[in-house]
Amino acid sequence: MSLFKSREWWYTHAGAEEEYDTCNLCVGNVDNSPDKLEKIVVGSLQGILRIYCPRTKGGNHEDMLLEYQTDSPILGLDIGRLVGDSGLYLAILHPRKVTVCSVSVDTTTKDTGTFYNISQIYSHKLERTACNMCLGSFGSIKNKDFICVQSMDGMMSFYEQDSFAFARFLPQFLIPGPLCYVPSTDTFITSSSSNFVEAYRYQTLAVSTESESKDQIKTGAGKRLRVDWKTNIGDNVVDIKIFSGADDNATTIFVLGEHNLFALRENGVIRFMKKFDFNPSCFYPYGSLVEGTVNMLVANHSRTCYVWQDTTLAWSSSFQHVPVNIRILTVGSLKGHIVTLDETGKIYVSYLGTDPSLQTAAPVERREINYDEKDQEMAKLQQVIRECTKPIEHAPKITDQPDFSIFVEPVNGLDVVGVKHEESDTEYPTVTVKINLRCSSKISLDKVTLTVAPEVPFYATQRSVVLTNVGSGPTSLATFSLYNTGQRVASDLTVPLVAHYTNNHSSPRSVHNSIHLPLQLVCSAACPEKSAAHKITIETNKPAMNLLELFSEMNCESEGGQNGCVAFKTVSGEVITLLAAKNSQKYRIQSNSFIALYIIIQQFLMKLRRHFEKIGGTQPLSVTFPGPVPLQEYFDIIDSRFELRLRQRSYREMLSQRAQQFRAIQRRLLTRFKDKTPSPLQNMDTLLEGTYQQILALADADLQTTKALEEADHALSTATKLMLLLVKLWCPNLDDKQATVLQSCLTPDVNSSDDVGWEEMVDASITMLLRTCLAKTTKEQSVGAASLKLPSDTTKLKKHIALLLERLNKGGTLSLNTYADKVSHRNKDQIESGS
Amino acid sequence: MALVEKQLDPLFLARSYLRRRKFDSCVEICSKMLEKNPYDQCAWFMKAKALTEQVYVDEVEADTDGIAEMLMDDNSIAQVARPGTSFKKPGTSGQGTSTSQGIRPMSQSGRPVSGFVRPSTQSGRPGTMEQAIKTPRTAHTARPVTSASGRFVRLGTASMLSEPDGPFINPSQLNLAKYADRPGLNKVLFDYLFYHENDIKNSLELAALATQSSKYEDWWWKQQLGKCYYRLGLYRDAEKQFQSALKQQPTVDNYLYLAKVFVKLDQPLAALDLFEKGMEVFPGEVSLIIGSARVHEGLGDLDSSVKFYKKVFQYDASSVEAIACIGTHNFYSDMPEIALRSFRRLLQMGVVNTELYNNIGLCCFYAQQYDMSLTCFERAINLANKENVADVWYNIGHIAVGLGDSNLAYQAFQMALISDNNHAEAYNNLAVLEMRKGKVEQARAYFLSAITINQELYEAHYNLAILSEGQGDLNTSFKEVRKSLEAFAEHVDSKNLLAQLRQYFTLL
Repeated sequence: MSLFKSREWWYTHAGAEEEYDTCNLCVGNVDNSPDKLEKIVVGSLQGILRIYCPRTKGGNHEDMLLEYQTDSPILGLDIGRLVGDSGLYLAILHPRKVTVCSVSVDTTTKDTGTFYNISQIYSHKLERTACNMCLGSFGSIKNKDFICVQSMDGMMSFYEQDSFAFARFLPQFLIPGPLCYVPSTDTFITSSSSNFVEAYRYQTLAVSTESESKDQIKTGAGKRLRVDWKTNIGDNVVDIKIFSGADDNATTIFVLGEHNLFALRENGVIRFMKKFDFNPSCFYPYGSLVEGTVNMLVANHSRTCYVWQDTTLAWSSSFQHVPVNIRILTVGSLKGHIVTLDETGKIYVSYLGTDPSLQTAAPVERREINYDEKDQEMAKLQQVIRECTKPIEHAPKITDQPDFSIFVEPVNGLDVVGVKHEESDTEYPTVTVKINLRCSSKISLDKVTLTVAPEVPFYATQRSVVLTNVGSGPTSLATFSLYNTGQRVASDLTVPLVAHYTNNHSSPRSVHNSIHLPLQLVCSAACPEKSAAHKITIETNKPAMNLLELFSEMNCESEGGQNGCVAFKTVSGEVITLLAAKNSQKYRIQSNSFIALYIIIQQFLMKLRRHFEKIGGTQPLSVTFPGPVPLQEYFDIIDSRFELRLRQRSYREMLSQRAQQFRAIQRRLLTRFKDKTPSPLQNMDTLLEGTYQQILALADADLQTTKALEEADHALSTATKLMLLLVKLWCPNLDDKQATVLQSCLTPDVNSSDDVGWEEMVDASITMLLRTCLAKTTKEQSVGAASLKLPSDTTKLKKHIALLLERLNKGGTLSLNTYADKVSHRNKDQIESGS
Repeated sequence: MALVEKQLDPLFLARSYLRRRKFDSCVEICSKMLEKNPYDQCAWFMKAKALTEQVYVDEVEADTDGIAEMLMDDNSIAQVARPGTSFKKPGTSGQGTSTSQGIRPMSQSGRPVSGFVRPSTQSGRPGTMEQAIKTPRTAHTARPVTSASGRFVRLGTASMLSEPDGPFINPSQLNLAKYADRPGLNKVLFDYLFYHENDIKNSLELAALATQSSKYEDWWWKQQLGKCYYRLGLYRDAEKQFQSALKQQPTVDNYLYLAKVFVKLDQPLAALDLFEKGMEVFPGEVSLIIGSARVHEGLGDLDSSVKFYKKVFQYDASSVEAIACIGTHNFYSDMPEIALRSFRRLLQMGVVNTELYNNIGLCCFYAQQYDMSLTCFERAINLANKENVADVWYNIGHIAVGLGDSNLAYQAFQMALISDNNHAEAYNNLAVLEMRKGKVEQARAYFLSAITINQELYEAHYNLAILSEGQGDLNTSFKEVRKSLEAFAEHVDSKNLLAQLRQYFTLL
């Protein structure tokens, strides 16, 4: 990230499809010209040597002084005093040889401009493949530079000008690192593959060589060489550069790592370091104006150049390319040009400036805005939005008739062959229901899905049927097989039936109806029993009916039924006996199971009413229940369910507590295992195992309780329905409207999966009734509302129910006018849609 | 020329490519060499190095807290820490300089919004397992169950890249003891196992063996041991190793790693102390100063944090993190013009993204440069992606509210919700607009959505309390205002409302 970009002063591209690495650039007055102009020398891995001399801004072809194809790749270039005289010569490193050349102006052709010649002074053949080289006045010899070549396998060969001096192997060598010579201490600095910076004294290298024969060098059997010092920097070394300030004593070794920059003293102690958050590619230290500090140019792989003054960032600017080498060039009197070379051979000579580095985002599309058009578009869009967000009541009303109606054919008797149990092979009583769809208008529907939702104990062999092309034919037929498994006593003989489809306006619609199941599906005729635990007596104002006639479809004679006495046995095994008094106008229904009574009473009353309606007569049938209401039985059912609820809650509490314990033990165990010094587990593992078993057992118990609770829900629901039925017969002035209010308070919808249980819900609604319309004193009106929390016992609830029924019987009216109206209205809607 | 090229030693070329970070070419050459001679150590070395560098992420910065780490955390010393000494209670800075939520919004974890997104900016710790699991999983708060399974698996998938002839190094078949004795190879092998294979167990074993073989003299190995221990969650052991490495050779990385352990152990003061010492050894080391600023920010002590960020400028004036954080601080200190300068600087430096344009737009709005503001938001939307477009729309809505254009505001908030269905603030503001229109039920529903998404959003709680109070539902109002004060204890309006409600209740 940089605010500025570097300004390009001179540019050239040295050869297409050629590659350059970091050692392939050097800067200096290589042709020893008297004007001391610095030249840029580059040599590619493809073996082409080029020399440039940037003179003017922009650059032209005349700036190239020399282009020369050598016969092997150029691995490194350097300039030094390599021949006896004080002039500068160029050293070129090839894989198998190192050549020293002089570059000079060709004096033979004068008329067509200046030409440059390159001529080889001397050359050394290398035993091993070279990697890099460095020049220096080894052994502190003044005004003479020698060459040290490092081979790929770690041999340092020293050449004192045109003669070979000696060669040494570096110890523990793997990959060659960058090589540098420190004149002040006469040391070579390199890096090892284990991230150490190592220093070898020239003296040490030279002295140990004398004792070796040439064969040993060839075979690579080097003697152990002692390192002068080594420093562990913990980073891979990218490059090493030496910088000595004005006073020669303060030589600093700069090591560029992959993520850090280190400045080492001559003895290898870290002077300072700097952590980078980028990947540097190359760097170049140079003298700073501030005393005691060193400036560095650091280029990175994200095309930015930083100028650091020790550890303070002085400048940063962006580059056009990722350089492999960076140098400083003096052009004439202009100092401080930055030369950068990238791997494709682009050479830039640039300087830092305050040109902003503008990386602009793609500009937003600018058009001439036509305001009229925009306004129109805006208005149109607003219109669309308004239409989308219109409230529901403005939507077209659903006044149209349903596209078809469902007719359920009345069911006459059981199927001959019933559905069989999967394992025990017992046959369940089964009925087959035929359903017709009759289209009211001439429309055809692609797909109608018919679904039945029977409640336990009823099951359907198939819950839904898909009918296609409804309406194109005369009628569409579907059949459902429903059977009774006898898991519990049925409480309702109607099964809801829904048809849903997408109409021609592609909006979803549904049509409802219900199937009325025959009584045979629930029970069969049985031998009447004389005594029973629960008895209900009902009075009418008409003489007693012939029961055999009334239940003609049940075939009661075969099992010993008489005119005044019939009995039924449900699929689950309960026997219900129905008795008609011979002289009075009373009936008695009795059974050992309280909840089994409901379905028979309900069916009996229905049949009775239907019968007398058919006959007609001046006086309508009236049915009454003299009481007393079987509260005790009802309360027993409430209590048993409540007990199950309490048990379930305690199981859940225990489960959560055990789970917490389990986690706590796990945590302790984890700490034990993490501990370095092993400590005894102190039976913690046994405890963990035990808790685990407990959790499993508790979960099982909870599952069973949930199942039992489901049964209890059903029992309570059935018992509540029976109670509502009886209360309606018992209380003289309870009309239909009030009965609905009562039903909504003492609701038969029992669902234990809700957060709020039946007990608190019913208690709250009854308290409300007692407080408002059934209140006798003003004191009762001020009783606070019950909170919806699981009560500790059911005494309060039972007391309230008893009180409610007593007041209703004594003529209390449930006249919460507005509220009741609303409820009954809704109920009517439901009835309408159901028919 | 082709002939000339052939004379190049492949090893030299591989080394050159490695230097120039052309890893694919380097791996290719090394693979060829290894085909010819499977025992070529140099080729093996460079291939391992190149493969490692391809997936390298600075370990100092890589950090994610998983749920398991936070809850099964047995490293913290005090469960109820004193104010200003723990990250767990970000709002309780001891110096009383913590900023008010009313001025600077909180992130979803109840921490002041930072100007710079870094891996651990979401490290608020949930109190219980239940709360942690209930915390909604949006794309922005997604938290891996454990760090061992989350981010690092993703980072380490290099091992799953299909390589034609099986994996380069099979850690299970390595004789680690043999490699540990080879000083040239063991370090690169360690890096390969740690970064490329993400095989911490074997890395640890190698590091332990190599430390022994170096006679406990190589600090680098101690640092690596510490890194392994840290990854394995053994922070106390990691601390010991880093301490030892630091004693042997103070380097910037050693300071940073040790501070990271202290942060993990919830000892921010120790971390600050360490940064202080580090700055004495390496004066002007930006990463140490930034580390210190981050810890201060984590403690909610924003003034000190900004002090350190300003110190960063002395040494590195182009530190993006420092500029962004100072800009954010200025913005929330009611100095939008100065914040604008920071953000503009970032833009000039080449940071071009949605968030920046969004911030500039907001600054312009508050600095009353309305014309620029909308242009900036236009650009922000142009640059936005799916993740951040919701925030831009939210801010446009915010500005529309400020301009009084409730229609535009309404549409903008809707747009925000279309792009991000879990934008709690947008729900809250939409609810306020609905409330003004008189659609009370709709407003209530929006408030409830906002609350479900972000429990810490005190505004939604307070607004719902006001709404309920207006309708006479004092019970709900009381509950909500209490929650609002739980999220932001100093909120004056909430306090007033609570006092008012208390008065009602006593009258009843």
